[in-house]
Amino acid sequence: MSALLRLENLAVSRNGTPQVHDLDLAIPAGRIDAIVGANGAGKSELLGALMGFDTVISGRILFAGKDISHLKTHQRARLGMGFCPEGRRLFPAMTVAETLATASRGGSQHRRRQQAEILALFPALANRLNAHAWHLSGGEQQMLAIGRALATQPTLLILDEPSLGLAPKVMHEIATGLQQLRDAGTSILIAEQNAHFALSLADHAWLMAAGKLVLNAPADGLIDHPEMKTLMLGG
Amino acid sequence: MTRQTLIGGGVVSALAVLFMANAGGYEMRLMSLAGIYTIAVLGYQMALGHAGVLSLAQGAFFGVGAYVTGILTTQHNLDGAAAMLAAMLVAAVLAALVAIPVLRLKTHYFALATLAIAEVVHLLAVNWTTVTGGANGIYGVPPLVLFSIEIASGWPLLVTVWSAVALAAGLVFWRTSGRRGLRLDLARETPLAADVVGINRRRQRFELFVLSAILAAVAGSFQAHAIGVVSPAVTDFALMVTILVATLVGGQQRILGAVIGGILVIHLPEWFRAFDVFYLIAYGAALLLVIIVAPKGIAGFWPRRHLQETHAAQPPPALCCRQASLHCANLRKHFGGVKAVDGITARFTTGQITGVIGPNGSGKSTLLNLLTGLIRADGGTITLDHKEVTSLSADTRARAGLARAFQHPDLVREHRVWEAVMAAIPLSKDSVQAAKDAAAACAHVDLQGQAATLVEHLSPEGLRRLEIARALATVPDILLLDEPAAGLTAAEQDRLAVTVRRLADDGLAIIVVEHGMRFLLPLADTIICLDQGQVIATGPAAEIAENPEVIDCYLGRFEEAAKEAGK
Amino acid sequence: MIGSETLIAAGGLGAAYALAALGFVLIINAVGAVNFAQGDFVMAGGYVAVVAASWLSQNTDVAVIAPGLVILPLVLLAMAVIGLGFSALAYLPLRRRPPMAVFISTIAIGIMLRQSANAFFGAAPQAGPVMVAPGLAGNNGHQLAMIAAALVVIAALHGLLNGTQFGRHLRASAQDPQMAAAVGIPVTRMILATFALAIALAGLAGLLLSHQYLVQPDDGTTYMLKAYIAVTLGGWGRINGAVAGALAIAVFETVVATLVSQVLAEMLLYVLVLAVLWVRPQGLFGKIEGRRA
Repeated sequence: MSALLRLENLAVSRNGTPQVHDLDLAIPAGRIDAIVGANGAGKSELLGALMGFDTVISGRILFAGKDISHLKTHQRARLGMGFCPEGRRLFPAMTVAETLATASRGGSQHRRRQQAEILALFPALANRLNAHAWHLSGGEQQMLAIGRALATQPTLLILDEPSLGLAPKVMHEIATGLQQLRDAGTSILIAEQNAHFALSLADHAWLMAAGKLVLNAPADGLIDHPEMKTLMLGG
Repeated sequence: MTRQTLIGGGVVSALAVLFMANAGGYEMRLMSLAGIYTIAVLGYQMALGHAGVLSLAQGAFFGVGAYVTGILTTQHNLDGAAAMLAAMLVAAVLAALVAIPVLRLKTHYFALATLAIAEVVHLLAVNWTTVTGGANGIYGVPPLVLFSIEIASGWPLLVTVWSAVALAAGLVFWRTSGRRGLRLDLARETPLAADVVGINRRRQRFELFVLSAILAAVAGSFQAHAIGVVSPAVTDFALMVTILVATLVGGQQRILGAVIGGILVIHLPEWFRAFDVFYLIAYGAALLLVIIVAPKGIAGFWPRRHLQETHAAQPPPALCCRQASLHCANLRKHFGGVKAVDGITARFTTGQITGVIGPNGSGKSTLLNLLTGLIRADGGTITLDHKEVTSLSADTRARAGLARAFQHPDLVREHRVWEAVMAAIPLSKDSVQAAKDAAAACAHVDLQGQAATLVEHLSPEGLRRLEIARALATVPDILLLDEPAAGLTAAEQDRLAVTVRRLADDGLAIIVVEHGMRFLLPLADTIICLDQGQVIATGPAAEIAENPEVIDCYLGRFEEAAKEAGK
Repeated sequence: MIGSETLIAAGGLGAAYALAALGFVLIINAVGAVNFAQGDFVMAGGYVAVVAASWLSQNTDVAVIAPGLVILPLVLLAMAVIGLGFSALAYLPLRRRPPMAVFISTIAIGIMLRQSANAFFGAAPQAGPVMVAPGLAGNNGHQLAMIAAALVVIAALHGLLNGTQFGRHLRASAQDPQMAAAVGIPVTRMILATFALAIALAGLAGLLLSHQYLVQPDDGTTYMLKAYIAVTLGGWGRINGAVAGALAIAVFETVVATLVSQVLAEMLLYVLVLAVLWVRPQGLFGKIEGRRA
């Protein structure tokens, strides 16, 4: 079976400190997968390695069957990996419309069509097209960050802690949007600390602790798994 | 004195004698100028290399030294030595005045401000004709007179200049070597770490900046005597560039670098003379090449001197903590619209380990930064031993007994373990006591035997332990640890827990901010759980672990809201 | 007294300063480092203009009525190419090092430029081409053409940065290089393009200044300082602020020079900068934006 994303024996370090050890993982297309774990478990570093921000010490990253371990970040993005980072990291001096246009590839017609699609997914952004990133509310910022990643037309959308700092109502809007995307054919990988949010959203979950995967199972009902509590409390 | 130093000294002296015996007037003149530039470079190293500020006024201070000397000796008949003293004084006063507004500026603004000062000095030199002689400058500056002996050019000047180099080098060595040097490294490379071990960085920068100006003025004064003329060229930006080039090429921190830089920058143009008008282009190219291939300059190829371990404590002596308490009441900090810390009240006392937990973004780090003084509170009070410290700076609080270890070890990579710990010990302690404290600090965290290991060669666990050792070296009463277990393996966490427990049993008040409860639950006496900047639960560890609200905030809130929204 | 002549002169000078400052601020935004050679590139642009104009007058029979305007595109192009070379020497080898290293490498490039100019052209001042022939547009024709040329180029730059994909990619790369790469923008190439653009602008400033203010190898430091001050006053990293700062400096300088003296104008300018930094360490219009490191 060919997985959309396959990690083989992956070890990752950030600032010289090893954070992910010997990790194997395979994700098929068309699913929402969640990596769930406490702060410091290595989730962020794992995603950083996927995008080429953090250092791969050993192992391989295969995306759509191609070894991308040595590609530059922008090349990975062009292969179809869309990234929405922790803390959102929007372009501070750009408006919503500019941000979406910047990430888009193709002519102006294509850009307009894409903007319309993203606004359909997150209608809250429609009234804020000319607002600068730092004037947006937390929820709108998160939607824009996801929209920016979507504008690159990814086959795999990667999100790092999308729920962080958001009110539950906004989380719900975002979860709904992500599920719509999945139904439309975009595969999604999220790393989350908020287990309730992640597990109610995802199809499949991978539990991570101390740089390793400790469990993977369908997300349904996993919240009541005996290991869940100790794990999330930093076990 | 090591044998190497003796041999090196011998070789240098032999070369010097050889040079003096064979050199003609021209070579002596060049070497005198090289010595003069060496002094200016030694000064510049203080600002750029040791304080880490990109000053572009060093040339101006050189010019001030030259002009003061020229004016006083020709127009006021002052003798050379007195004029040199006056030059040093004027430069020092000018630097001190300038330092007040300028030293707090960020890199690029600092560079601009010092450049503006230099331009003002240059414009004055060119246009204040009645005093400076304008574009023509001042002619007939007499030779230097020391103890009523006239220092003629040729070998007397050469010997005098290089004696001054030796004096200046001695001064620089005293200020920048040993423990003083380690504290400079700390302040320059890791400013936050310097703050929390109690280093007053503002005073340090001020001292170095004024000292750099004084040495520049000495060099300028010598040059006025050596050449006999003071023209606006001594305040020109080109001279600043020459000093900068010499410092970068020779090396920003080493005395040897200043000597190499001073000699090269005077002799290179002579050696490149064959290139005719193109020699100065080659000069620029050489600078570029050095920046790219030798960021530490030529002296950087020599190994760094390390401070040797002079004391080893094993087993660790008991800590001598006073009864101490840290108390915060209704503490508040907002970042824009985000209430990071929203009315926290807590008390931390001797012998107790207090755990602070909470999910990401709950305000743990902000609380720690408020307590240590790295950020200022918007409201509420912090009391250390019944004394309010809310508005005191981080370094003042550190000197009052508050110590902190960072989550991401904030250490100088080139230091050895021993040096990293020694850097934290106040200079008021003599070297014997300092060594004892450092050895004890290492022993407390089981780093004894690793004193000579370079920081960059330490394991993640070692780095974490060194962070704690450095905090302990300040002999604190209260120790704050920021996520000490993050990224460590289970076995490493267990070992660290033993160490931390032992420190509390010795009488430290310890505050541990942690995310993982596995590490903290067995360790802490009391746990405070934060969520959205507020305390949601306080109590013994066992209770907290079962508190439904705590579990809820860790697993995340979502489902009820989702249902609500779905309705 | 301050008449329209003075104001037009100030406008011409301000236009040139604005171009130099724009290039300066573009590089600050792209790599976080001050380009200390910016003024030397203004000087280099002046010499390119001198050479191009003399070639033009020797090789064309037609009497050129606007030599400055004719060679303007040529200067832009030549300086853009030089800018690429500059980034290859001063930025690419140092891009993993702190901005201070780039700052110093630009000082080295500045020395090389200045000394090259000295070696090839000598220290004597040379005059560049007039923008438009005096007969064509009256006494102020040259200065008005300077202002017009700068306005057109600044407007074009504004359009490029805000209205094109290329410009947006350039801005994104400056604002958050990692995130720019994550949406597929080749950040290194964008930075090289920024250098080309910035040096082309400096070169254009050199062309504009070369006729009235002449060209000398040592001119660089002053122009760099003016750009540096304009950007500091205008708010670090702000493109519109840089233009405003440059105009303010030019007006101040021209007015004080007319009323009192050139020397006092310069001196007061530097004292003013010190005063501003003293009162507002973050720059005159600088405000701390919610920018993430």
